[in-house]
Amino acid sequence: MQSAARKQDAIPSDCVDVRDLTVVRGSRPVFRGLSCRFPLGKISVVLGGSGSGKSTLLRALACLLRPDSGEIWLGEDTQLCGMSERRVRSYRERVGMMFQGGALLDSMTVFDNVALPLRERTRRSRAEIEREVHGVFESVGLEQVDALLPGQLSGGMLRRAALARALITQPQILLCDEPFSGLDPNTVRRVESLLVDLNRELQITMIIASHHIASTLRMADHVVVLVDGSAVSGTPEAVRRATHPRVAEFFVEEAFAPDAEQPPPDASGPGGNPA
Amino acid sequence: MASRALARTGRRAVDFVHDLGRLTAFGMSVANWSRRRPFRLRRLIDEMYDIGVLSLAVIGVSGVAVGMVLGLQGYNTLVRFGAEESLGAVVGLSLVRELGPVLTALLVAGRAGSAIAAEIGSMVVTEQLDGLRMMSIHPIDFVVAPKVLAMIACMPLLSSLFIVLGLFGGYLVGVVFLGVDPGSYLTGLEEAVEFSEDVLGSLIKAFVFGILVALVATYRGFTAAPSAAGVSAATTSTVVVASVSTLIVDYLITALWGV
Ligand SMILES: Nc1ncnc2c1ncn2[C@@H]1O[C@H](COP(=O)(O)OP(=O)(O)OP(=O)(O)O)[C@@H](O)[C@H]1O
Ligand SMILES: [Mg+2]
Repeated sequence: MQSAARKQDAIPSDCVDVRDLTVVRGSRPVFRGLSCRFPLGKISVVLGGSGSGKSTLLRALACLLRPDSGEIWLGEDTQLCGMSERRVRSYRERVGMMFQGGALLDSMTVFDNVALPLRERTRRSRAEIEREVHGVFESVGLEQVDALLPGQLSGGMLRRAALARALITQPQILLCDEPFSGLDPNTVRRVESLLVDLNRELQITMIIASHHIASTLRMADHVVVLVDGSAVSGTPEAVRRATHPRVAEFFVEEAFAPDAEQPPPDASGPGGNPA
Repeated sequence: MASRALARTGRRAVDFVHDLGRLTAFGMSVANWSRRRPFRLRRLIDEMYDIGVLSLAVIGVSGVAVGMVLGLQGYNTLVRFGAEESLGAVVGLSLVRELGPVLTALLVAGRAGSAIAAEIGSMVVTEQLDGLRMMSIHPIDFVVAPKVLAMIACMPLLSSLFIVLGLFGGYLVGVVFLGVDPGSYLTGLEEAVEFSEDVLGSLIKAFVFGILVALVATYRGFTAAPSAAGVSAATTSTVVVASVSTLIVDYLITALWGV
């Protein structure tokens, strides 16, 4: 259960295997030899306090940052760090990512934002695209947002629009950065069951960064807790009973407010405005 | 003390060369993406609206004002030699050869260049460019190339507008206010300005300045540090770098091609 450097281990075929990852941002290391695994086809939740490196880990998994050292294996034959640009592109065609701040283009309507990957990457007709986009909007619980700009959405709506954009291409791997923060309890459950259903139906590999303990315990197959630049991982129950003091602390604190979401203090606003 | 100053100068120089190299690579990449399909006509038109149409007022007012000043100064100088009929030639030549393209570039750098840098910079801050990357859409293809092409297309048009309105301003002051003969103003203008040399040269200058301002603005925005301070630094340095390099390149073009 405790993570340790597993340099000599064989690479597992059914996991995303993060090995000895070191990421230095600025002058400070965010991870120093982080090792953890995310089983394919399962829902994994990355827990950790603000600034513990959840977003950084997702960015590394999305090839958006080049780690200073370490490897990330997707199955036995793909190493994500240091891939050529072309291979990164083809990898990303299979990946959907929902960013913490939404990252929707603020000069385009919400509909155009979500339709963009279909318009760029497929040859579907207008009517088909419209049908698919509205289908995804319905499944994330968004209504009548087509003509709005991202800046005109509330924080929770923005998150769901971002999730819709990540889902529209039917990715095999879904990376979600805090999909639940800023949502009311009903919407949390709705998004949660959407993700669980998608996972059960299509075996999408989900890696979800979250502070939200209650939903984590309900939906996760596998939990990775980031503490002090390394990881403690296992099933939700196992991690909950972990003896690591920082991990235990994390669960105790959150247990008092199971459904209340704590917004990260440094969360950037919902999309900047073009000057 | 002295050695530290020397070290700092050296580091600055090395940074400058690095930056120049990266800017060149960036420019090549923009050129490369601009040629690829699909051609983003819709985005190009939107950008041309933002850069061109929204700059019309600034360019128009400045053009008339500069023309009027030229008319006044030119008249005051020429009248001492009794040569006020050449006012059209003086106003026309200075506008077409220098002031039109240069001042247009400076104004566009301040008005549209800073806006471009700020917009792209804020897209960096809010991870919009990373969002595009995750959809396998290259940010240079989707965001940068249309802006650069639009700027290159607009600059000669705006410069021409500036020149025409400047000629009108000169006419207004010289002929209407100060009583220069309208016929000699227009004849002087017509005789002095050569199409192949002056007008074409003027258009070439505007075209080059368009490339320069567009590349500086998009590059600064693209490489902005992901913070509010980073965006404001990118905006400021866009205006400074684009303006100064416009003036330097103007001298080089004039000296080398004699335009
Ligand atoms: N561009 C950057 N430059 C310098 N340091 C950075 C940068 N991005 C992130 N960091 C640092 O990396 C650490 C991890 O950041 P990260 O955004 O991954 O945290 P997080 O777990 O996602 O936090 P939150 O829950 O608030 O979203 C933070 O301490 C932050 O200061
Ligand atoms: Mg984060």
